[in-house]
Amino acid sequence: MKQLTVVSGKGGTGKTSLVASFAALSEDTVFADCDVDAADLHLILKPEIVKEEEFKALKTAELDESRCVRCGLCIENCRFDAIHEFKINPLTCEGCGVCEYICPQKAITMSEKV
Amino acid sequence: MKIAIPTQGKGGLDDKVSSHFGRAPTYTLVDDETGEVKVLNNTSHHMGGQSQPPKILYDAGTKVLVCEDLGLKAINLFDELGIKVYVKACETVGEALKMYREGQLLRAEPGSACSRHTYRKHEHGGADCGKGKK
Amino acid sequence: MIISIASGKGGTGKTTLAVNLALSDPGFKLLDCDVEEPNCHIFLDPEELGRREVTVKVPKIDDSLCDYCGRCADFCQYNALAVSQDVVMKFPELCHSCGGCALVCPKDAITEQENRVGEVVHARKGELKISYGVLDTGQAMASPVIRQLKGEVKGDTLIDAPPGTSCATIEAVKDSDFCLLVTEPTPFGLYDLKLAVKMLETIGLDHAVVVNRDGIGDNKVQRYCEKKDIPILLRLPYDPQIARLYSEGIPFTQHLHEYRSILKNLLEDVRRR
Repeated sequence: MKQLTVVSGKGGTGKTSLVASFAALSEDTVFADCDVDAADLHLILKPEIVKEEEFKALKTAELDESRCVRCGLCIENCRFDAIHEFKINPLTCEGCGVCEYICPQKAITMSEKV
Repeated sequence: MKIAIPTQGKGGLDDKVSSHFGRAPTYTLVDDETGEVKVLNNTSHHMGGQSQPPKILYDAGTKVLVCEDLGLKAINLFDELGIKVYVKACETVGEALKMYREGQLLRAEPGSACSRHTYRKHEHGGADCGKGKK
Repeated sequence: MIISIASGKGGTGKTTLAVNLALSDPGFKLLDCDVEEPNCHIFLDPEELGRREVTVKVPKIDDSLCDYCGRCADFCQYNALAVSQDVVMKFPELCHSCGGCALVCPKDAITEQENRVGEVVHARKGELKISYGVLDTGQAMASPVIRQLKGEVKGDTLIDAPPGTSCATIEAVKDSDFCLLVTEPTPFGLYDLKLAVKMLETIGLDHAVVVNRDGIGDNKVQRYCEKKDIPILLRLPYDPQIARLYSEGIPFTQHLHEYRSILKNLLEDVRRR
């Protein structure tokens, strides 16, 4: 099994176009669009969707205000500046789990996100 | 002594050596004294699980890793763990072991390893293949 | 005022726009946050004023205290540590520097040490101040370099963001006052623009669109912007002269003076919003 990866330093150089051309010319080949920020290959190839799977990766912290006594340990220890005024910003949270570990009231739980 | 070989499928002597060490679905472990063959599943984060492939091999008592190729960071880590790495293996596990025993493989060590600059097609007998080498 | 310039798609013209905007108003500092492959300085060939290393904290284990309990590895969400019965394996490129391993270690065997990941460069071209970050080759995470770069530059700033919609882009554009999304009028431009708009809506950042290479492709980007009520503040035409100057690494406003006032007006327009 041979794997060919198409990369470039610069964006917009024509990776997707090149890969799509290979797809048009090849048989029995699997194409993986790894540009997960903005996957475009399917726009050219117009494939039929066979299967969609949820991808769960890092967790996000959630704070239960009913248990919170506002001691501030979570805010002090969050390296990502994700907790402000006892509200957790899910976009900034990197899912490390330090706040859950450090909270003396067990007010924070980590859960998986898609 | 236990020898580990990353394998493409379900593992075993007839399975093919995987080109990717970290993302091989299985690692075939062969005890070259007893002949016992064991298959370890790659449960590392590369396969959606936890932890790292070197730990899987180290915990199983691996002393030698035989594979097609390996990145510099991994070569350094295995050196620290006291596991010898031999590269340029190909074909099946059985054949790779034969290449190892006949000294046809290249020992990869931190100092001697150089980073790849060009892709060279894997041709049996060529620069990247241990098969048939003396 | 901080204006960021982003896009979903790569190669749409962010850097070209950012550089030419900065040249039209040197009251703005130019910040190149595309730290994996900064290009602004290639257009400008500035005089370097200084550079500073960017480091992140990674765990250091004291072997004399460690008993290989593995709590650190169990805690680590990023698989940056693996512990066997007599050895700790470290994978620093995966470490997010959260400090968790040091906190959970029952033997206090873990301290943090600084690990270099890149650098920040400050430079000048005439009146224009430009700073850029460079992520070391092989490093996986751009955000720490972007964070330090932004931290070292104050005042009115134009930020050239990395393409895409992930961590690095969000790190670059967040906390700016306004974001210009550069796109091209093609199916890819549209698809990636939608993703970028979604990202900006999620972080609540005010934005408008700049269409580059106007004249090619179709009118779907136009229709999308109308539907979403997103203003298109500028259309740069598909112009072989602009393309030629770009390919030679020359900012087009240096030769095509007619664009200078157009770009200056764009900045005024954004300032008013």
